[in-house]
Amino acid sequence: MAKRRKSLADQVPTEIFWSIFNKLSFIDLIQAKAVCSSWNLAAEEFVTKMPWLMLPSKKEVEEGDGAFVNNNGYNGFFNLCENRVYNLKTTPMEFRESCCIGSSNGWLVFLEHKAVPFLFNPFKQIKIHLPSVDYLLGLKKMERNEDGEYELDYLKKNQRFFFKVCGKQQVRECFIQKAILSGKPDCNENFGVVLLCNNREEIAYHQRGYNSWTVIDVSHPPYQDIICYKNHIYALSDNNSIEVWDLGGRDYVGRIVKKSDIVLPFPDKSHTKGNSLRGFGTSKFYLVESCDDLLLIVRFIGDYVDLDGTLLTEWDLLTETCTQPKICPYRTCFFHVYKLDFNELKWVEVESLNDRALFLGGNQSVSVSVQSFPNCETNSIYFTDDCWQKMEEDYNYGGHDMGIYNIKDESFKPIYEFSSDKIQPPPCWIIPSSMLESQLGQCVASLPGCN
Amino acid sequence: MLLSKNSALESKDNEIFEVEESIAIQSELIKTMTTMVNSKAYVNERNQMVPEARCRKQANYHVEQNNKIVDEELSDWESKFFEVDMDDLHELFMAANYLEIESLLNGVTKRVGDFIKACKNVEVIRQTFGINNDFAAQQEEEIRKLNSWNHI
Repeated sequence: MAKRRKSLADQVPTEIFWSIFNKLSFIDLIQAKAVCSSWNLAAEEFVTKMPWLMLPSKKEVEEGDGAFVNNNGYNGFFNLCENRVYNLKTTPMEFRESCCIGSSNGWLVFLEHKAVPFLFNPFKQIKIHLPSVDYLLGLKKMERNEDGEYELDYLKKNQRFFFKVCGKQQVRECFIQKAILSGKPDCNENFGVVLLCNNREEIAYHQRGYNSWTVIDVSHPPYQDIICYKNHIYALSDNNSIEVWDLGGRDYVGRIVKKSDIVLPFPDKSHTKGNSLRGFGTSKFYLVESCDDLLLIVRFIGDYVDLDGTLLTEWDLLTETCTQPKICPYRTCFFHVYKLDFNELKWVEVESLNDRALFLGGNQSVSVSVQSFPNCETNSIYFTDDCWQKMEEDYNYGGHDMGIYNIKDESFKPIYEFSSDKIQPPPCWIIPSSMLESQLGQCVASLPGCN
Repeated sequence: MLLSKNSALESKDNEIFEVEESIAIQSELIKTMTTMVNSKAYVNERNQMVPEARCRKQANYHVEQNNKIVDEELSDWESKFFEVDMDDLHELFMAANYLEIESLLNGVTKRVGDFIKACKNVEVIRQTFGINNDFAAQQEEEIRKLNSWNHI
């Protein structure tokens, strides 16, 4: 014990640290961070590059009553590198009491009662309040009752007040469909928050440092998806148009400048397939930036999908022999992937994502390199359930539509299994921004209207 | 494995080792030098004789096992090889790093990782590795707050 030891921390080059810490699990890295300042920095690199799936507790899902799920909250974090669930010793009460409205750059966005949104980083345990969205959403009152339901008084289209009692997913369906970030709150950088709200008809922006939300001038509502890339907002509408706004630019009256507005032809393959499946389900669309390409993802969700994958209609659920209708949850059947050809201005089918994987759902749609974490599936789409309108329809299911889709063989793999299909709140990806670093490119410059 | 040319390696404390060339080139450093100098390589090292012998022993073993990897035997041998105290591990570390022998480095870093995993708390890690706590009081409190995860 009295022997003098050369400190490993002092003499060993950083590359060595890298190879040691590379083999440590999340919990060991957290411990390593507390040893000394150089270990803190080295371990931080690894802790901030892990992808997660945020989950409700297994116990609540599997032992709970499907009718009383509104009081369920998030509880665990499934680490995709290790295939293991971690949770915080003290689960923040926000996970139960607030409604998750987005996940972007490693931060979660929640909506508290009284219509106050906030950012939360579970790994740094930092909470950042945002200005109230009551005016933006026409919400006069938003209170959460003891059953976990929201009681809302709101003004719709400036005409009349409505009163509604609903669960979290309906709040998400009607009020704020998705919240994303421009920039990174971590580095005290100037960042902003973008909301797709009011039944997908409006896009609002808040810049850090100001105390308000600005409604952006939109031309083609409603929208399917919004993303932020290099301080620009990209919005994909139901009619397959893409609009781009420059968050750094303002016109002579101070409005955010629109850089681009293109209506694109709907890709044939999906159009034909969609027609053939009319009445059996719906399509959702996502916009993703990947290596400076813009991708369109079409996700077809069958309304009632039997265990063997057969698509059924509501009538098929009623049989002569049973008094109860058959239980067939909605399920994603396939994805189509397209890339934007900037010259021809049309969507071109993508056969393979090569060494990329996509993460889609209630989070900001992102693309990562398969090298970015061990066990990453190549040429795959990791997806969670973001079908807000269907999630609260049935006591037996909702929040369950998740998994990993392989684009090449069109097959599905589970990501995390619950023995019940009623999974509330629905699992959500947390993908840190350091996993998304890409090289400088010309994506923005390629779109017409941008310089 | 066919017997190939032998290389002569001289360590800093003037000991000369005859090593089969195929083993010697497990070290990236030696490999680079032999391609430059051809048949013989004179290598200056900071390390003492003991780590050199260990390095050689392991590289030798790996080459022998190359064609028929008997996993259990190899991992048994490896656990014994690395079952040393922190000082020896440190020497192995420095040797593997200087000579750029990837397999040895992997073994050492894994062992260090295992050490870290086995430590029950932060103080034990500090003692094992001889590290001083250089955090300010407030920093330490913040970090302790973040150290509040369980795994299920």
